[in-house]
Amino acid sequence: MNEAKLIEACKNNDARAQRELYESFARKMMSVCLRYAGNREMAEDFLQEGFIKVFTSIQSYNYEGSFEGWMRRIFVNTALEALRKNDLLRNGVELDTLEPQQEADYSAVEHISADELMELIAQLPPGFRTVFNMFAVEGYSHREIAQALHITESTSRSQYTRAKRLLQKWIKELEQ
Amino acid sequence: MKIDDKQFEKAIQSKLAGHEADVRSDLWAAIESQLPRNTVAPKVPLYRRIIGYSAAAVAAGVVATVIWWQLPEKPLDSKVVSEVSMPVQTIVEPQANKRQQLLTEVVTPSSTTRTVPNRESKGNTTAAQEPTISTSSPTAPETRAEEETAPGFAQAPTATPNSMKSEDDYRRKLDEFEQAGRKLKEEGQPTILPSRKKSPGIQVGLMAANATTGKSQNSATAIRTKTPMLLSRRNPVYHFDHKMPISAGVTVAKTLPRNWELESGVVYTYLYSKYSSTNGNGSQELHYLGIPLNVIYRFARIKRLSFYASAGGQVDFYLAGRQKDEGYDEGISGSGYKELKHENVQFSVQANVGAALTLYKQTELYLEPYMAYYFENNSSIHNIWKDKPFNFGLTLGVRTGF
Repeated sequence: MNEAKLIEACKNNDARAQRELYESFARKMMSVCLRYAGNREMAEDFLQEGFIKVFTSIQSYNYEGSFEGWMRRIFVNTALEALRKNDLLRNGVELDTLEPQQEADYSAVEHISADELMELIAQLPPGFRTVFNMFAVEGYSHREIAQALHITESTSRSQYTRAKRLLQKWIKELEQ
Repeated sequence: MKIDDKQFEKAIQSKLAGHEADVRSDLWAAIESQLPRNTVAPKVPLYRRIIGYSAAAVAAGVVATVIWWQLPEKPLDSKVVSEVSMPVQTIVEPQANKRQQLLTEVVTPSSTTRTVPNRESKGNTTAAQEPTISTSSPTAPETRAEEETAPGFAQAPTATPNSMKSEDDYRRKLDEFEQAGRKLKEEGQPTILPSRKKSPGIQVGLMAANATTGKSQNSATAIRTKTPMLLSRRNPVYHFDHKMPISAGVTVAKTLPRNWELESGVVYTYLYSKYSSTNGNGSQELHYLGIPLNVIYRFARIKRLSFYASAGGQVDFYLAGRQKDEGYDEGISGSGYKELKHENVQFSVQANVGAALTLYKQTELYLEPYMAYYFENNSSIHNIWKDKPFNFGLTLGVRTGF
């Protein structure tokens, strides 16, 4: 069944189509959830909640943009809602605990695997991790991040910078 | 190699593009259980589903029946049975005002004193003129100890007294007694019946669909069977102890817009009662097939749990029934079965509130307190619906949708 037919069947609450859609995207969306959750248990909660939202709101999908992108936004929003609800976005790292800014050398990213990168991202404090995911991976602007997380743009920028510095540090440690 | 921020972001995106993570295998079941109901035709043919669910319903019914049979039986209340004595001794020595004598003494129980107001000749008897109940029996003559006893008062005697001089004389006295009873009824005199045993109020049944349960004990009343010749002269008085009804059925719910659902199906109900009479003890089994029609409104849904209210009616068709006497009166059927005839359908209305937990797909476990009212259908058969028409109860069941 191609994607359009699958979507139409899901709009009719066809259980088989829903299962097929889930099996097609579950692993990809789990990756998204893991990036935001930081641990598998919370990621599974995001995944479950996200798919329920996908199937209950699939009627609103009007084929503008890719379906995977539409789904991804739902999972990101689901994760953000949960993080906000649990007040996890406030958890960050004090500036003093970070080393002085160094010249960025991001070439190391090329030398680690995706799984290793995922593990490093998961170790970021929730606030940093969220901003990093939204900016570096999802491509949101700092203005959009600020609106979504109810923070200022400067806060978003500074948190992203710190996240990058932490990642750089950890990647170097990983290479050594 | 040094790259700028843009390149870093691209490196991150390309590294993570297409990344996938393992998913727990049982996660889909949890998701699926919370999805809206399927409106597409089922893959499994309908008749096979019906057979499957019917089998499940029957299995649930069997389990419930077995559990019910394992429960210790409640002994019949012998006090109620012997509360009211028959007017045998009172007509041995006819008084000047025989009818009044009958009225005042016929209803006088031997174990408890119960009198009916005497309008015509106050003071003729030692009994109080207003209905009274006491633990002693001041108005009962000594000979009462020899009387046969039976529940109910407006019934013909079942045994001829030793002191009766002839059968004709006995018949004549009996007619007088019956006429007096009818007059008493017409005049609206208060009658004293054995008190009903209060129902526990909450009953639990196990079923595959919705069904009602209940338990009650009726007052002493007569029933008709297929032995009219015998009963015309010796209509025995019965005291019933109704057991909890057992229902099993299959219901189908059609989802309507805005959280409304329409539910119908078939529900089999088994009613069982124990009775005691002057002819001895026995049991009664009744079988009904009902068609419910309920409107359900789900007013709240929290993940797999939903709350709803429903209201509707049910019509029950009588299938079969029989009584089995274990009596000692050789005039009746001994220990044999008597088939019961009954043509009237039983209408009822009920209202529920319930909570349902989605188990799998559209199958849900529900628990719903209900109140039901069973309309009088002028049936000759006594059952719990007739003797206790207004019921509260609790239904536990499994419901599925197609």
